[in-house]
Amino acid sequence: MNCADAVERLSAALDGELPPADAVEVARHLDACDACARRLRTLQQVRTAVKAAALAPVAGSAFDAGVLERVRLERPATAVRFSPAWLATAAALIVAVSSAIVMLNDRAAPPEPPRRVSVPLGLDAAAAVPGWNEGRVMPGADCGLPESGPCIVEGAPALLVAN
Amino acid sequence: MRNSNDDHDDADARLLRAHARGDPHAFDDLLARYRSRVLHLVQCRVGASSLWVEDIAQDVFVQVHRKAATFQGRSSVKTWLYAVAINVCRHHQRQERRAPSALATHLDSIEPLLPLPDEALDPLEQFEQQERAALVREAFEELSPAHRTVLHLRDHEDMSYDQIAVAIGVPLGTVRSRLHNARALLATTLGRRVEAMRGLTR
Repeated sequence: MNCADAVERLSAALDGELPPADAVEVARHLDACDACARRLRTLQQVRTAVKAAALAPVAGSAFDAGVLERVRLERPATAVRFSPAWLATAAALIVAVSSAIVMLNDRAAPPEPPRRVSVPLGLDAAAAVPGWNEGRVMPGADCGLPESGPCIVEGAPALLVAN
Repeated sequence: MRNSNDDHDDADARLLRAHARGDPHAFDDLLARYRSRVLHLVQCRVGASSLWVEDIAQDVFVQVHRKAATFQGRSSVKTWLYAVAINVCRHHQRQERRAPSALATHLDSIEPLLPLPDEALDPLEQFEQQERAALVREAFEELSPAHRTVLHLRDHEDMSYDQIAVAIGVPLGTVRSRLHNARALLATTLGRRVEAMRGLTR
């Protein structure tokens, strides 16, 4: 091993990070080369100096409080991520829920009271009520009511009052 | 054989998982264990004189709080957490510059090996310990962020080359060449500073 090869491995050799075969070669070169031995010594001194100049631990109640406050502020943003997929799901959900509410309302709503329409006795109901195309209003006979009373014909959209 | 590092790693992993499951105290413990280390790493990456050191370090912990569930145990919590820290620093540096600069590119690229001085730093050992530490810190600050970071992770945090490679997201060979260059540059700078100091006191 020549000096150039040794020099590029010295730092890793110092850290014990060379493959064993390389480490043996470097050690052999160092035995024979004063300049590289001095280079290794320099590296050792640099490493010792850096280790000795490590920074002191930081006391940090203010730091911790700052982190926890930022985490607290961040929470709503974490709960709701506005990704396109999320928005699509949310929109679908809103539509589904509102449709369900509308349907339930439709079912639960009381039926609209029949309109009262005055028609002469014996008249074909279709003549008095638009959309009515079956049944005939008969005095009392069909519904058992007095002639002037309302007579409900089954299936009728309107309450026919005979007069 | 298990050593104290393994026990630390296990305790860290338990804390991180407990936090991910919703334990309200686990995060406080992680914060106490890693506050100084994250602050020092951020300081190496953005420079001790930066006004943003504390802000960025706080952001690192916000990310850790948010991403705890993504930890899969492929590395130690320490390595994972430092990788988060390095990424937050990179993000911050990109935002500051708005565009990748020559310096940013240099940070992550392979560098040619620098020559090692073959003059030992014996004069450095003549200084008082405090004076020496101050000299070293000044010389350390003169290094590039990339050189400071690898030196810090190796010599202050005792991380292996493999762990450093994962934490800073570069190949193993880059860690090796970068550490070599960081030490070569520091030796040169320190030698110059020591000579200057001796010149003043003679």
